[in-house]
Amino acid sequence: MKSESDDRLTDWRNIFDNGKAFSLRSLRDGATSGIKSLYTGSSVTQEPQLYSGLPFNGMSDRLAGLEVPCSFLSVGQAFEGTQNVPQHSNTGCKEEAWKVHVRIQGCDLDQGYICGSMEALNVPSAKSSVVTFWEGEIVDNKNYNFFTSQHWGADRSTDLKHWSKFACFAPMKDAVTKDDMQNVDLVNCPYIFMRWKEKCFVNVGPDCGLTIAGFYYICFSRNDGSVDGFYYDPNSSPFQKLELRASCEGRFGHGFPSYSFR
Amino acid sequence: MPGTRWRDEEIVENLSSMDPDARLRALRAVKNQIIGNKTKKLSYVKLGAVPRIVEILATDSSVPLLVQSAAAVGSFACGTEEGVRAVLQSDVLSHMLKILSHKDDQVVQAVARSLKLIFNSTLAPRANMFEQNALSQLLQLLFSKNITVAEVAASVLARCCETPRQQSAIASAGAIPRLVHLLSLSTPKSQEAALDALASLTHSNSEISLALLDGPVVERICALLKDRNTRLRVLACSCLANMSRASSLPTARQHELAALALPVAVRLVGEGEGGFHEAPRVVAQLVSGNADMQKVACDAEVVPRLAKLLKKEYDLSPRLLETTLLALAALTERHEQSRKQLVQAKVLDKIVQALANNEQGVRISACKCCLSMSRSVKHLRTALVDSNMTQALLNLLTDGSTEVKEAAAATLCNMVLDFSPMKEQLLSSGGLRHLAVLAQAPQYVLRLNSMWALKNLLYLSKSPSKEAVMQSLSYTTMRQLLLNDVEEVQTANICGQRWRWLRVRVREHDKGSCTVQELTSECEGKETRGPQGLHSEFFMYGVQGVMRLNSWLGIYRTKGHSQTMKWQ
Repeated sequence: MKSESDDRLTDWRNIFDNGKAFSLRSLRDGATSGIKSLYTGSSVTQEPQLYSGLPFNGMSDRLAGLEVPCSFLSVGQAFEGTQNVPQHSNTGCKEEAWKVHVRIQGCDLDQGYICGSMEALNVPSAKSSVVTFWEGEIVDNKNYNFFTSQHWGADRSTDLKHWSKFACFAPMKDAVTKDDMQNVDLVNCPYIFMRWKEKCFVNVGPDCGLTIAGFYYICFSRNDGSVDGFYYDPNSSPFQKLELRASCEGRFGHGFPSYSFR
Repeated sequence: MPGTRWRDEEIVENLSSMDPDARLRALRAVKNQIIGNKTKKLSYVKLGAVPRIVEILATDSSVPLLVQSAAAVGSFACGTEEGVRAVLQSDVLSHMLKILSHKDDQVVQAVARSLKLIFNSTLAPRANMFEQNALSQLLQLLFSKNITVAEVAASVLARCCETPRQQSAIASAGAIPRLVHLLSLSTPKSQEAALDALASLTHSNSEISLALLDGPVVERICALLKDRNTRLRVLACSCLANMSRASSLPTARQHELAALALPVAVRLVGEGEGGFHEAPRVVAQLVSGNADMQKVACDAEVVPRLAKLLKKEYDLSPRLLETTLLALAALTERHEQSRKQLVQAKVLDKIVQALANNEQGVRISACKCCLSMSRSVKHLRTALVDSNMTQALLNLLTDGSTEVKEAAAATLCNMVLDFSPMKEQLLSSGGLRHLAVLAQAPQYVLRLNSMWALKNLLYLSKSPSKEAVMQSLSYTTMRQLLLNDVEEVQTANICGQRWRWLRVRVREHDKGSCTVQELTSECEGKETRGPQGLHSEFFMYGVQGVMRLNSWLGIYRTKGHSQTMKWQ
């Protein structure tokens, strides 16, 4: 028992010392494909995030032998921010915004799957806050790529238009446009691209004044867990912007919610 | 005797007649009447025919009498539990084993056949076959020139592989080369018997599995995957499944074998239900713990096939119900699409019903099914809520069987999570109390599962829940679990696994108590002196544990505590 915990600690020390042990370890563990291995390479360079960001779930997960491309992708992690809806009226252009809380509730990197809840707080058209459950696809070029599958109603040009709104997409835009996935470097990209699609309302009926017909293009910062997103729904205002920051929920990083399935 | 018609009682009387001919006639009469007739079997059992027949088997020496009595014993042992019990109570096995060395082939064959029938019943005591020289006698039969006898011996051996010890006893007695030989014969019967024995010998036995894996027999078994005989295909799948799961790190060869067997096993599900409860079990074995295989099986539409079986529940034997549920549990273990298919197949209510089944095995596999399904956040929120399984699971927490309790507690672990609507139901029906009791159970798995459930229950919970948990659990128990329990329970315990390290420290320094304050100061005192002036990993590790404990317990509110953490 003791030796095992000692091993783990030694492992960890190596990560701190030279940053190489981690990738070696993932080799040894036989990580083969998918986002895990795609991202493990660079999560070494991302290591300082563990100090800068308050939650260090990622560290604990790694100690448990689980490799995550970003500590902010852990279950239980909360985010808060706003969604801005540009309103075009006769008097000109003004913005409407509401507060948004998001929590990651499930994440399966092997399958490129993520899910969670989203709460919209002061929506003008809704009486109370609106909680929805969403599921997401992580762009890992194994399970999902940058192009949205047919049944979500976005075509290639819509995809490119939305992804291009993220500055960090620029370096890979050419390659993606040409379907040249070999040259799309997700490993060293400090962002993770995802699509989040709301599946159902949790606390209200479908007549709450909001629609969940569309989906979000998401750009997730591995450095600090901040999230930029654009809502896409042909029947809603275009480019509603979602901006979130990782939240400690008043715990000052001294405790963080997490669970593990049995 | 044309014209004469004996009453049953007279026949039974005559079984013990002094006249060998009368005995033989009576024996024939009994045998002919009971064949395929359950009612007759029962009535003769009640009349006490079985001990008299066994008496003949034990004391007579004439070949026809021995043959007839052996056949009659076999017939009694076939089809009714009462028959098997009556046969076993009369201590027939020892006599039969003695007669196995009889020089007349007919006698040996008849006895061997009856043995096979007796051993088809789960009531037959396996241990007897390993006493004295019974095993060597069976082995002699296995090597008999008479192939029928050898087949029977193989079938009996196949039923005597319940423990690794029994398996290795048979293997080290030299059975395997002969079984491999039998397998290479072209008669389906001998192939079946040999494959049956090989499947039983390799079941959960990595030593024998790996030994076979290197031999040429594997090719032979693979060829049988395409055989027209369904039973042979099932057994071949079973063998390959055993071999492919024999090592914790499967080789490419083992993956290959599993991939070969899986599609065959999938097609066998639901085919000729009668004897083939093996097929779902094999599917379960092939896919469990392997998401890729789960995907392959799911793409082959195995979930709807299994669901179809479940819908026929009333025609299902408990064993088939159990293996079907096991297969569904294995398929939905990690693969979301399978879960979706299971929900779409509308069998969740059948699974919930199975939670209350009379058979312990069925209840356990139904729990496993629910557990696999509950690993999906989406289904926790939707389909599982509608299925009303919480009350059924709660009832199982007080089940008579420990294994059932373990399975139920494991299933509850996921259902008490913050986003699961079932959490409230469970709490309001006294789930917390049950879990707290089980956390002090003598069985380690029960403690582990219930502590895990408590841990998950506290995920994102508010202070009242935390206090309620600590009230039910008590600090004394908590402290005991932290300090004294086996490592794994601690790993799962509510403070998260960081505690393990803390515990090691505590033990090393022989601390008598483990207040948070003490542990904290220990962390600070001993471990902050990191090599590079950074936090040492020891410190981080320990602090994480303490912090988890603090935030988790919701009790540690000492002012200024967080300042002692030297946070950067």
